Amino acid sequence: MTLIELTDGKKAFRDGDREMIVFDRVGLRIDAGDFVAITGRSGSGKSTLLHILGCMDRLTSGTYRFRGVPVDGLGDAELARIRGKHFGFVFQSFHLIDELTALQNVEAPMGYAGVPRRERRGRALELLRRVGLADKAGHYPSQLSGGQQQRVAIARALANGPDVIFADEPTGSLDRRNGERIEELLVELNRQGTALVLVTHDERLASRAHRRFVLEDGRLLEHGSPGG
Amino acid sequence: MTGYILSKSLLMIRRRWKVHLPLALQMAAGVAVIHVCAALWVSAAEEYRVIREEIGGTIWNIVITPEQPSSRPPLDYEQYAMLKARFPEASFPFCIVRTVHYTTDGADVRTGRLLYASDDFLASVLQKDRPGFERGNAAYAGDDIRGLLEGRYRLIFGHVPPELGAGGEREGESGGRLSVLPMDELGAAGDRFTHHDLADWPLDRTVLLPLAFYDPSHAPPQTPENAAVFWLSVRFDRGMDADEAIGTFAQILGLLAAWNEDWRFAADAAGQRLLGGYEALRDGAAAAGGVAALGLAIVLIGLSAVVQLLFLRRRRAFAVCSACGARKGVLFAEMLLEAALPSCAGGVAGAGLGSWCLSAWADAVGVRTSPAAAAGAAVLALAPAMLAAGALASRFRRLRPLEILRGDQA
Ligand SMILES: Nc1ncnc2c1ncn2[C@@H]1O[C@H](COP(=O)(O)OP(=O)(O)OP(=O)(O)O)[C@@H](O)[C@H]1O
Ligand SMILES: [Mg+2]
Repeated sequence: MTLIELTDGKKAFRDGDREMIVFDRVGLRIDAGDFVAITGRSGSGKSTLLHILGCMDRLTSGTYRFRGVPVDGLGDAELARIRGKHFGFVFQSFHLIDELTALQNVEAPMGYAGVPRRERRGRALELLRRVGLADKAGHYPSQLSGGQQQRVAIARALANGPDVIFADEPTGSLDRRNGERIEELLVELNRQGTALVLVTHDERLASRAHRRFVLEDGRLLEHGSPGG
Repeated sequence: MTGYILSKSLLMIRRRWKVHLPLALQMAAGVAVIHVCAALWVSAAEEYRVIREEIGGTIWNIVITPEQPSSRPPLDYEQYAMLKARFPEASFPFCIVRTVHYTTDGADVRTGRLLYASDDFLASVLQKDRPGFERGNAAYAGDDIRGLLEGRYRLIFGHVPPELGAGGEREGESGGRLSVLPMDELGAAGDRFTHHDLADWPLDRTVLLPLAFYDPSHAPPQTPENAAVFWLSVRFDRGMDADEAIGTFAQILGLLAAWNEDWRFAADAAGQRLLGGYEALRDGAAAAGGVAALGLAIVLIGLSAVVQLLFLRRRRAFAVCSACGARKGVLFAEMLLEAALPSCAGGVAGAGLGSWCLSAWADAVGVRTSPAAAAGAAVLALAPAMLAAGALASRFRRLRPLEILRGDQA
């Protein structure tokens, strides 16, 4: 089943009265259970593309469909609902909320999605167990290592049982050993059915994806396809 | 979801209690002080209003005491006329009083009064408009004292001017002729009057003479008792502004003192009280209002600073929550609760504390507990919510979660 379909996508920023095009004529389809890696030089627009795919940003022109429905006409609240229910995000710098414990961080997306308290608790604990941090549920981010924080972030991304997880350099801030652990976790999640869209510089991680794309000079090119 | 937002806000407040507690206490203290001051202000303003109205219609009695022995009266007729011409907005009940004692048969002693009165005195004390009386040739004598003037009763003490002697028409000192008429012909309201230190005096034993007839050289006093007494009052129109009335009154006193240095002129005790009370109330109300306004400003400035700081601290968390599916409106509600809940709680406690203080002290300091001040305090207690909402609304309108997340990227 096709989850996301991007056709003829263009993103540009205004710099005074000059238009600065990040990418143009980008097409990309992500199906359920897909594993897509996007690579490219720094500043090539990988994060920008990921944010658009994750409904955190909008295209300048082109069409974005989620489950066949174009999102251009949807309001911010509607996009927030899609993010909350269907997507999960993992960032390079973890982005946990400092004032909340690991458990409370994992609970947050469920809270905003209206999941009742008891169910929230149970599911959050279960997810922490899945990432191997059941014993750290009551710890605050400042009491966790970088690798542990990223695992909490992954548990949080899984909170509402998303269709797709978007990960922007998830191993970028971690040492090799912790990076590998996160990598295994993500690959395992994908194996269990969650689609994964990964932006990375890490060649080894990218090589595990089903499909690989490169952003170059504003174009998205697929590895192994003509012109790629 | 509402439950989640509330519990999360409370959690955040607990986590940052070191910020919130002092703010709540400041708010409580501020609102309590403001509440009390506002009640003081309202009650002072109310009394001030009452006193202002009172001042308009008040008769200001001037106490005249000799600075040194003097043969001149504190105010002669010419000066009196100047005073009237200079302050047409005021009336000046003026009267020079001489006391006589007489007897009907030698066994009883009666006291009589000769009043050299001005038109204003007749108008304001006896409620009788007789323009020109003060310069005219008519005198009015009460029935009883006529016995003295007509020689039926015997003078024991004091002095009766010759122009009044033996009744009928007599030639005055000033050359005019004085006709002594029965008091009934004046047709004064009532048969007694009260003025200055004289209470309920019978007109029966009173002779009213034109002010211009008074001649101090005529009968110098032998004893303090038979010295002339001077009753001077000032009365302003009811509609006159209180501040203006007080200013004019001070001018009049100054003028009198300049004219005649042998005498001292001052407002009587009641007038002093009124003046003192007026000034104290005016200053008290201003001070209480000032303190209340200052307190309010301090509290609100502190609060808005804290709201901004809290927002800055939580900006990144909002961006993350936005990525996790939180709508902006929900985040706004969350932040508002977090920012305003402790302060509002403090404010409500402060309003309560203020009420308690007022009810405990109301009798002691004579403050009226005012519903207006209480309502004001209640509104004020909720002010943090409104202020925070205002400050946060513009912050949230400009909140770009994506830019925050990008900016934070390592
Ligand atoms: N809000 C914005 N306003 C203007 N320019 C922007 C904005 N967001 C991104 N850009 C520009 O778009 C380009 C792509 O940025 P992006 O962050 O997507 O690159 P990236 O491929 O993720 O780089 P990196 O590998 O370093 O993370 C950059 O040149 C950046 O300056
Ligand atoms: Mg990037």
